[in-house]
Amino acid sequence: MKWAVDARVEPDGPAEAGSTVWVWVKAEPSEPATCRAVHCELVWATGGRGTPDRACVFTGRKDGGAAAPGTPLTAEFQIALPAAGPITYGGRLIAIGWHVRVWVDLAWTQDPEAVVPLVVVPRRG
Amino acid sequence: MEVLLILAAAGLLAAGGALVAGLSRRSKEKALGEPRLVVSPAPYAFGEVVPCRLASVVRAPIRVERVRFFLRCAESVRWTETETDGNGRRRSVERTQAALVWSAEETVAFARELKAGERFEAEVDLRLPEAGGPTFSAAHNEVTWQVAVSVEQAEGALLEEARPIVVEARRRFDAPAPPR
Repeated sequence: MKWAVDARVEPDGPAEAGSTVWVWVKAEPSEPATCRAVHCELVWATGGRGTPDRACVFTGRKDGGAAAPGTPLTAEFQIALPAAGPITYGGRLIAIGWHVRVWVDLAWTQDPEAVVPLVVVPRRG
Repeated sequence: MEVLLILAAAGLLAAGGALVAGLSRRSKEKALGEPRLVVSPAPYAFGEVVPCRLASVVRAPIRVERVRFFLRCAESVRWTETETDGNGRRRSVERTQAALVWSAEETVAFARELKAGERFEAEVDLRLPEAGGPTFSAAHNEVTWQVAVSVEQAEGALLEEARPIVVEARRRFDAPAPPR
């Protein structure tokens, strides 16, 4: 059995530091099944020359349930982005990227997931 | 033997020269009084102006050619490498690298002799770029901003000072929106 996990972030496009984003999750199995929970995390991580640094700034969990082809399981998460950033950044030695990762918690098998990159820009004001 | 003596004498002369130059620079620094670089510690937004001011009361006559102010952004990173020596022993080596990623400069021309007791002042407004990396500090990666000043004579810098500033993840209210 396979699960198709899809995540959508709103607003679509760059999000300002300190603003709120919504994450919509749709998880649909290839045959009737039950999942224990839907999880979501928001992470920033550095890339580039130095040892990577990483921080998870949000974790959320919603109860799972039964799903079937055509009747997917849905979940929504509301996330406040930290006003202090960091922002998405591409420098000379350092790059900083953000992503939302969602996954469906299944018993006795690997949890299917989806990862959506997020662009965080400086807030206005 | 003679060669060794000549080398030793040359070394002593060089060391003496460096000492004299150092003392001369120190005395010239003292002549400037106690210059203070004043920068508001308030966090800044991209596109904003950073007012910078250097002020002092001159203690002894001294000629100043110019005062240069800098606004700089630098990245620094750390990482660990494992090295193996000729005997096959492995050891971890901490490496660091830094790069200047953005810089702006303003020069205030003086080109005159300052008298003892005279007030020595220079101020400029340095504008932050519309976009870039805000101040960021993590275990191995850092983005830092600073204002620096250099008081210069014809023969070089007389005094250099720097102050860190904080640039927030914020852009000036009327700044253009980032590209989508």
